Amino acid sequence: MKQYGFIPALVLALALIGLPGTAGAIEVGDKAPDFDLPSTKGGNLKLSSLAGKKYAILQFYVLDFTPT
Amino acid sequence: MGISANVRFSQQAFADFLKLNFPLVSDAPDLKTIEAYGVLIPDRKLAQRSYFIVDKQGVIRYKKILQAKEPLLSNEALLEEVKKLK
Amino acid sequence: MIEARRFPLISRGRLLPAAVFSVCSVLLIAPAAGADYKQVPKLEEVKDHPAAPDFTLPRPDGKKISLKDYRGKVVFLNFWATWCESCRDEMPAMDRLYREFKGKGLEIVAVNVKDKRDDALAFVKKLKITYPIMMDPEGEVGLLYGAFGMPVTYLIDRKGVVLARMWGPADWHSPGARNLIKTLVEQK
Repeated sequence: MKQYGFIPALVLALALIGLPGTAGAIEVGDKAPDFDLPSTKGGNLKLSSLAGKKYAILQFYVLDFTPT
Repeated sequence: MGISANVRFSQQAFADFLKLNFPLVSDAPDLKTIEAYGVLIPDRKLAQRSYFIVDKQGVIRYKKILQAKEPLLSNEALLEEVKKLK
Repeated sequence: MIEARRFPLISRGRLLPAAVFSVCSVLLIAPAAGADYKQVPKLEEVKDHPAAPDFTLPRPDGKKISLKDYRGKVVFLNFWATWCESCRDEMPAMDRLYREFKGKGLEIVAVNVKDKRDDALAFVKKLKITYPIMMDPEGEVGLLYGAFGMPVTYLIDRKGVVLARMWGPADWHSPGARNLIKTLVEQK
């Protein structure tokens, strides 16, 4: 009987992470592609606005609410 | 920051649920940024779990794309990588 | 990080004198900004009040309904499944809430997520539920609304704007819940 909590129902998504992605044109040493996208902290987040100020750790993830 | 193909509404729910103190950024619906970083799973229209560290000059200094069954990187591991770059 | 929470069901609402008092005090509260979400424990106001994303799903009889069809009503959007015990616990109180406020502009939309249609229908029939059910067997709408665990409930105003969200079950026919819904249906 499942209570309120996480259910790893999208195990399929995890399995598919192993599929070959698009050929990585971006490598260490390249300029990070800029973006200006909606952020949960309000408004947009523009990567280049961090220049000179902070290191940025970008974590790409598959789906909200899944363990990956 | 976290980036995914999810729409902002769903990310907001996720961020509120986990009480995240870092932002989630939505690349829906175009997925152009995910594609630019080379981490798009085309048939699924989703991003691969991956990590990039960008320095203050806007240069990528660390990249890791997780393969199937690879465990997630901990925050400590990521901060270690940042320290190595300084 | 995520724990499975068990919310004890408050013993069902007798009409306390407090209910009379709270009804009177509603008349003094300013509309729109005045809804007090704290009347339901753990109900969280959703900051920025985003527009509720539209979706279209079939009813059990197959007819397709969209969330925006309910524009003009206060929508209680609930995500549930027959395999979720706390979802089942809160449904009778939800039905009482529905019957009380349906004529005043409340709609309850209960999206059944990742479940079998027959199981869902049998359950609704057994509990004599009168509010509408929508079927989301793939769970896509559930995921959009963060209903990966359940139940999850959203309160949406007449303009289709999300006001508040509840992770987990609640006693939706408690005096606090009824007073909150009363405030919401009375807003213009």
